[in-house]
Amino acid sequence: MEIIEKEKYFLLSILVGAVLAGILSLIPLWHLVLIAGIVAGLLNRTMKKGTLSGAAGVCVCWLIIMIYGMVVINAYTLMDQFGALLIGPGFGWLIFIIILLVGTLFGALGGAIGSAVMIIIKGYETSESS
Amino acid sequence: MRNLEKKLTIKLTAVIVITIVSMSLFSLDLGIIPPLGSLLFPGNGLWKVPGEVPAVETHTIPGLSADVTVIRDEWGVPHIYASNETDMNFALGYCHAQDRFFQMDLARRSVRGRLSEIIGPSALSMDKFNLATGKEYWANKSLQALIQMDESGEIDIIDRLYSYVEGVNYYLEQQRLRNEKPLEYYLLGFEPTKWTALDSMIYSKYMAEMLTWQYSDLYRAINFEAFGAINYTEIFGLPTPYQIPICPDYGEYDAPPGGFWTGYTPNPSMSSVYSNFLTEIKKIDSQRELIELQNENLIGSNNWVVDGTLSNTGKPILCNDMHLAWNMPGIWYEAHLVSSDTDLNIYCFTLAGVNVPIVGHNEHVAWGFTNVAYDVMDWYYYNSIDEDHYIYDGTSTAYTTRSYSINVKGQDPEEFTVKETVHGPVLNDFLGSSITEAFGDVVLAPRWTSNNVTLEFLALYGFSHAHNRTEFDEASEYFHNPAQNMVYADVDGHIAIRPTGLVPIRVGNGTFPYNGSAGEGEWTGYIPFEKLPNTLDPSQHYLASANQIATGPDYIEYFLQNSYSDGYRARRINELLSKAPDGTVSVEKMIEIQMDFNSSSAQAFTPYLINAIETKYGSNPSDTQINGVLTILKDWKYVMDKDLAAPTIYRKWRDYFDDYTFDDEIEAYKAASGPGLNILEYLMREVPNSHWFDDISTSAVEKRDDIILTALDDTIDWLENFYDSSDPTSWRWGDIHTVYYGHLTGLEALSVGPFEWSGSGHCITPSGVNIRTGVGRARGGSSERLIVDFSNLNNTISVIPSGQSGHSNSKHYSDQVENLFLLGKYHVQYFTNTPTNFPTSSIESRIYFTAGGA
Repeated sequence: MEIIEKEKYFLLSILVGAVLAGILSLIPLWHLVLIAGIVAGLLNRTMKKGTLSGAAGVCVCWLIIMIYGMVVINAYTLMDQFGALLIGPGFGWLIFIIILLVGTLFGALGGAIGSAVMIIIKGYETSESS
Repeated sequence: MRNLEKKLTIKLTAVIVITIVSMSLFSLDLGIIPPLGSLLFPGNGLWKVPGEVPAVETHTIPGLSADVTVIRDEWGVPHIYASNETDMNFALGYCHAQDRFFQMDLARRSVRGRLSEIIGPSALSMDKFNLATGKEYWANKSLQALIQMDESGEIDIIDRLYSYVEGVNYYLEQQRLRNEKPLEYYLLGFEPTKWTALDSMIYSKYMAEMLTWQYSDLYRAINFEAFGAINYTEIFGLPTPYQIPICPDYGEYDAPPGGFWTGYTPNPSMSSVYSNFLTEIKKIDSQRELIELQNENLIGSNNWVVDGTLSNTGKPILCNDMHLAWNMPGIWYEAHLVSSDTDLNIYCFTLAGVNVPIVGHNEHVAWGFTNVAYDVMDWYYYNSIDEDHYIYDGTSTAYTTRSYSINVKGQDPEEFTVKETVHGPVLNDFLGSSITEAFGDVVLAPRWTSNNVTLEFLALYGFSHAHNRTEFDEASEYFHNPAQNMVYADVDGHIAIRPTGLVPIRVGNGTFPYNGSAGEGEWTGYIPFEKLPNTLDPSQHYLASANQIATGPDYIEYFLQNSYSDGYRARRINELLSKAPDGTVSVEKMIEIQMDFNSSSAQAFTPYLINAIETKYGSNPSDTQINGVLTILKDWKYVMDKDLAAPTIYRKWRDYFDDYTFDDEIEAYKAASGPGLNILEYLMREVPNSHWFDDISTSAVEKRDDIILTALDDTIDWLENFYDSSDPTSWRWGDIHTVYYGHLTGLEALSVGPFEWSGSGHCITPSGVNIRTGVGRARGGSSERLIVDFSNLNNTISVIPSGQSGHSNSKHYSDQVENLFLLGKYHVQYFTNTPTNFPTSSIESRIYFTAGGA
């Protein structure tokens, strides 16, 4: 509980990132996933945490969407077929992992950008107020 | 602080650069692989591909006049219950689009010359060919004719077609709103566009090309010129031997081949022109495929029917399996259509894209098709005067023209003009500069019955509403092209077969190309419908067609055909049905026949191989390998079983035997091809010393058994090498004979197979392969199997070699091929005429279309 209390903003940023990634996935423009990471990053005070929150938020969201897709539209079959197209039969699992990793990467990049921007803004605010 | 800011700025810049680079990488279009980001990431691509249909759908449709219920059964087959046929057609259009829209889209693009728009310049030659042949042009003319007939009150079917189109487009709009589209659209990078009535109409031209377009007149002319009249007549003379006519009312053939070929001699100077033309035309994918399929005897079909005397039910049983190229998804889409206003209750095979059933049964009649191979196309050559004129019948005549602008992906549209002679489109002048030079001042054009206003839609509409033979016959008259053997049965116990279509009456008989500049080969009309062959309720109590000759020698009024199947499937079907005692033929027996792997060609050839071996080596050869081969062949019952070695030995040997008999002459005379297998059989049986058996490259004079044994030696060497085993029992047929269901795009990842399978091209259930260079993949065969039981239509069964759905992530994509078709199983056709009586346990999903709304 103490950890949760201590890291509540960090955890909140992950949640915000995940929800936003989910909402943005409704728009057929995958590049918007970066925004989810950026917003998650903005809620953090260090780049490390910003990066982590962006990565975790998008990763969690995409994992849920992918599992849902596998159950509802047989998306694993499609990943398997796409794996066969690129590499050979039986590589659907690899496509699954790649999608998740790339989503995590973009979440992390967005998180890094968001947190860095926030730190710079905060820095300006501090220097102006002093 | 500044230091920290500086570091942070550097980090931020680096992250932004990495982000931009990464995003760019995932936005790159890699040809067949679209931008990975758009394809793979949630919210896009794979995640927006429709798979299974929803368990329940409800739609309120302003255009409907009453509610429609659609029930899909456990195989995904829609059962559509409507109050009127217009609404019924809306629902059928919706279901077709929901399950098969990419297939529909590809078919219309192919026929209408719009593949370049999505594929690029590589498809230009195919588009030009398709536009030149006039399929779209004449489909449009046919549609306009139907509209005119409808407006004048002569017919009443156009509203149904328009309603079907609305159903297709309603689904497309729903799909667009959900931001979904089939996988193929992501891979090929284009968008579905609206369906039109003309898109539906093009199918009759599409099927006509598949089944009746031919280059055999050109091949025959090359062969005639190469071999000379005597040799040509010996191996290409008509009728070819061992034919059992489809219609038994016109006598039987007992004469050997070598009948007069045509009474017409082709122009010898044209052979090189034809050869050049054929070389170029085979560079067009669709035409190379068509020629290969025709050469491999893969385009054909079986249908047969027994009456109540022969059946064990007292009522007719009708069977049909149409043989076409195998694709994923398959060509046929099953549907059950019920409309209470016209008492229509029909279970049928439809083409996705077409609103009228093609084959099937209603509560009164059933019918099935095979290709009849009437000669419905002639080739003409002319002397060209200049770009705009040619000589026709000795007179300078201006070409007529049709112009098109072809959209090409990645480049400007290509302007394309088709020149037409009085007979048809000039087909040699867009094939490339090399062919233009080879042709000099000659142009080549075909006349084809499909390049007419044709009314197959009326015929098909009539079939589905027929109550009896008279009504069915009346509808048959409109079935113009592709000409088909229509097998028929009804609930009153009648059986019939009618090979029908539009067949030209011409000067000569269309066997060779005509000199159009000299006015040769004019068509003077079409054979009247009532003069075409026809058999009703025969005394033999069954009728069967498998693309063999349509009539016996007593049909003399008109010339019908100059090519047909070699007749092995027909021989086997007739053998099995003619031996069946009265009252014994059951549905189970029909399944056995449809799944029969016995090869009647093996039955004909193998005894001669055995005899040659025993003559040379004795009945117990000392050579263990020869002894092994002999034992395997002697124990064989001619079943092309995938687990046996005998089919492998037979088939490889037969290829060599055929090659060694004719290839030396083909090469020496520079001919285009050899004769059908039944000619080799005839020479083997009747003319063992025929000069065709002599290898003209040697000084010795070889006879039949010399070639049989040389072929056997090479067979053993080849098989030993291929199987890496000298033990003949290890040469399994299934290791070299496979079946394959390729996806329409050619992508292996979306294809099904290959599977080891029994059978061959000459079995009733065919799966012809080429094993000359190794493992053969059959890519065509039965495209559906249907057995209609008139004693209980709920006992009617069928199967297709794919599944109902065209979506590769659906369980109905390949469920029938893997769970039924390859195992020789069928599914029951639920035929209940109300949704309330539909067996609940078999309901997989429902769609409710409600009339009304804004």
